[in-house]
Amino acid sequence: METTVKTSTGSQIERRKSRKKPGWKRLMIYIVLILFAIVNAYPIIWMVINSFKSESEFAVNQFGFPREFVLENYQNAWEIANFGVLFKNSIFICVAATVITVLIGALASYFLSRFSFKMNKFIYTFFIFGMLIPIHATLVPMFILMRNLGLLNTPITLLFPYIAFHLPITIFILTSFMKAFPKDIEESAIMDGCGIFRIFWSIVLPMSRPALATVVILNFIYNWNEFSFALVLINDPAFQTLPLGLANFAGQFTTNYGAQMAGLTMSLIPIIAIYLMLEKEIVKGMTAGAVKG
Amino acid sequence: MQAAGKTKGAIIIGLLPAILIYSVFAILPIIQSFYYSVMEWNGFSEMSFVGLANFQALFQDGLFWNSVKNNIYVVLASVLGQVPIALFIALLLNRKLKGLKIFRTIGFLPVVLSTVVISLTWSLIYNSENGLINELLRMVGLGGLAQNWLGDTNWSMIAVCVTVIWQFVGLYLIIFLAALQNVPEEVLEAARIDGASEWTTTWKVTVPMIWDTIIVAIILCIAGSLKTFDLIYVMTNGGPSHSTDVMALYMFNETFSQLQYGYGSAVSVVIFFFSLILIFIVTKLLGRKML
Amino acid sequence: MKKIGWLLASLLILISLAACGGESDEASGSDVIELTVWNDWTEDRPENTVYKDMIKKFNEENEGIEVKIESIPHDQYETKLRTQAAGQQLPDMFRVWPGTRIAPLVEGNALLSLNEIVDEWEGVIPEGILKDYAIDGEHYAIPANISETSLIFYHKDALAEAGFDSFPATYEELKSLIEKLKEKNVTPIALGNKAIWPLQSVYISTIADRYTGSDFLEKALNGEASFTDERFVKALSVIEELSKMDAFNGNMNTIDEAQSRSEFVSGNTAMHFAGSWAIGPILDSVEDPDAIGVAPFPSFEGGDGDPAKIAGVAGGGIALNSDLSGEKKEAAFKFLKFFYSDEMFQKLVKANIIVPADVEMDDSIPQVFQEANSFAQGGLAPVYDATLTPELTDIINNGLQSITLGEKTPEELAKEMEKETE
Repeated sequence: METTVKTSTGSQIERRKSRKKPGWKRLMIYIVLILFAIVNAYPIIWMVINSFKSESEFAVNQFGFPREFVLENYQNAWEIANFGVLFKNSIFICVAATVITVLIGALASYFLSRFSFKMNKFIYTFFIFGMLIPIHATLVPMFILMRNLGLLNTPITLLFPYIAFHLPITIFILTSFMKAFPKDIEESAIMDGCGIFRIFWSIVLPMSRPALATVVILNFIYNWNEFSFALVLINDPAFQTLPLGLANFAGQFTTNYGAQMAGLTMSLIPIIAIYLMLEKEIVKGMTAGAVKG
Repeated sequence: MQAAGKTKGAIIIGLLPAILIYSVFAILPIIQSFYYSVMEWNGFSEMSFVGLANFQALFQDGLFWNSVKNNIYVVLASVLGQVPIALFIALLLNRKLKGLKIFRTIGFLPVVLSTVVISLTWSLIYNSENGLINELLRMVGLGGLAQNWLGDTNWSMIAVCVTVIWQFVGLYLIIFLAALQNVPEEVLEAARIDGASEWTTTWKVTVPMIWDTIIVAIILCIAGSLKTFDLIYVMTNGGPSHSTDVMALYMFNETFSQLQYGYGSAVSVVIFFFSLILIFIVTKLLGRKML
Repeated sequence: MKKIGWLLASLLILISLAACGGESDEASGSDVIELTVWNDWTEDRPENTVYKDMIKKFNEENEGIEVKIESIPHDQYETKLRTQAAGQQLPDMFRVWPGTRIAPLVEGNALLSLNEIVDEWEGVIPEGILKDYAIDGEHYAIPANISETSLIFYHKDALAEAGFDSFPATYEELKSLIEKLKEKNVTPIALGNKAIWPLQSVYISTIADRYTGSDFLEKALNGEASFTDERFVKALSVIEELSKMDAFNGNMNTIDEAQSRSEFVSGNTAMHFAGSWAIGPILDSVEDPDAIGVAPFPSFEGGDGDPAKIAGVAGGGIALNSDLSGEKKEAAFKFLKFFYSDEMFQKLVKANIIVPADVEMDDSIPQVFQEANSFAQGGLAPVYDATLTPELTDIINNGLQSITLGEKTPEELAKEMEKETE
């Protein structure tokens, strides 16, 4: 116990120390993290490896490396599933839905977290209810609603349910984050003559970067993988999104695993790219701290 | 800040877009679905009003209670598994060590991965004949412990829960990482200078400072696991012999396979209130006014 | 933050552009009659290619009509169809499955009767098969194929090694074959029951028929007979017996039908029980098609059924929306007549699909297929999930799985089914 106390006094001292002499603690941390990483990365590696296997090889060899790399899977996936169109649709829907959800969600969260007014609690609770709804219960009513609004089968159809159903979690996370800000930020801003929306745009939003990045990632993933609404609300192949195309590889009696894995691998690339882009924002405090230190 | 005059207008303008779109495209269908719950309807013919008959039938159905029981396992596994693991890893990652970026990224991967891949790979890991777990057990001479993980009703729920935990640790990981950025370095520094060990600093300073986020995570966890559907649908579809059936799955099958829209809607109403009560209790217990 | 402002502005423009783009598309339909057909032909297999080619040909030959194909993955097909039906937005034509699966659509007046044109197939498709798609004398679709649900595929050399030159004709002999195979450490039967229908559709449909005869099912459903009938319980007990003697692979409840087929194809098991849908995939993936044999289910001692029968049901039907009228209806009729023609049946046979019409077969047709095709001549027994209500299907599917896990006895399952019927 004694040594632990000593080695961990003062992060800078520790850092200097540990650079010289890697302690057992640091080793432990790396071991734990490496184990964690192996467990997490395994399925992805498996997916990528199997995307290069022929159908007959997949049947007999599901674990090992492919005997020969079948690049055709990628070509098949691209052509059979009409990936070009699906990709374009998915990116459009995801980006649009995510940006709108996060913007109007952040605005609502700002007022719910920073202002006290009569309906505040009621409205907040009203939004939180939305997190408790199993979406499959709403498929039929949603279909009928969209039919009545004439919104079935259009390029923007999916935006509406996606925005509506992800506002609750967005508001929930952002509100709890914004509540934690110290009281005086707005007060001093108001003294400087800033309007309410100005404060939101120039002070609260930038301060919420880590939480914003989190909800952007969440929204993007949900929208990117969403299947049920896309299935029932869209008929026209021209407006379909990726998850529908990916489901096409699994038939009633056979599944083309090679092409499916190839398709899934391709569909994972944009989302990992988005994550890498935004992850910086989430941990910005850390890097900023490092510069300061 | 107190609402007055100009501020009031701003509040209305600020909340209106969210309330509007949310009410029309989420609340309206939900209300519609609540309305179906007192109807008998197969989706094709005319609806007829049956009062609370659907709920009565529901509460008498052993399979429904079975799905509730399994769902509670999922909730427990998620809250007690995902949150602590995610917090632990987040604390490990929230430091300036070389190469942590790659671990952050890998830690998040399961969340973005398609449930199809998760289901396929974990089914291979669990496979009773040549699965990874059983092979490992046999390798170290513990072949007697090998199980038919997904095929044996005693183990299937546990196996599914492990996969569910694994799938979403990354989600809470980034939520915690984001929250940890708000813990000022100076506070930690001060604690360390006072001679506190890392362990004490973590427990006494860091965790209390992000306590609100931990509760947020727990609530997300409960709400998410009570709706859990996708992974189990692909991985076991509730089997074998209903041993991994959960509420949302039960509802889906009643609605779309058995064509009982009214009954299915009744299930969703129950899921809704069940979640509400659970979250209410949890927030009371953990000392935060959520609702 | 300025960046976000720009992003938002460009997004709004993009959305409005996309919205306009969508509308202009719809204006293009001039005097061509457009008919949309929903199906689940997403897999790249020969059968689906035949269907799609036939539609392509129809479109080429008929300038005034355009049949549009919209394919939905099989697993999600019913969810989508049922949602659209609930919203009264069914397409012009859509693929349907026979028996109880079209019953609710008929009840909701969603389907158009084909009685006006059904004479077209008189003498081509036997009445006994046409009736699978009929309810109360009204025909709602024309079958394209017959699914025999109970065939036994086997590796000839695996049986020969166990001392069997031909496939056992009785259940007793089948059991001794299973024992012999186990002695040789060969898994006897590949079963993938994760989706829980194979034991019911493939196994029980025919086994129960062997015990009870073909009228039993209907009688049990309308109360004239009972599922607790000793003969039906005996049929269920066969599943219990087979799983107790370890006739199946240990992971049968965690792998799906296609995976179990791969197990069989790769030679890990000696037999695989499946329907005629497996003929094509098996023949395509084995090295030597002649090394594979196909057999009907054996006879069961003390059974009242006709051992020459095999469970089977019509398939591949396309139903018409009851809203169709005038020109559109005529166009749809024209399409059906073109589609369900001798030409398509011949193409289907080449794709190893058993068809309801007589088609001449030359030597290019694989032996396995010809034999399987001949089994249908003994008459078809009802397939359980095409006849039972969805609730009963769910009970028997789950119940059979519970029996393999030792969690339910055949008697208990029979009682449960009888209770649901009452």
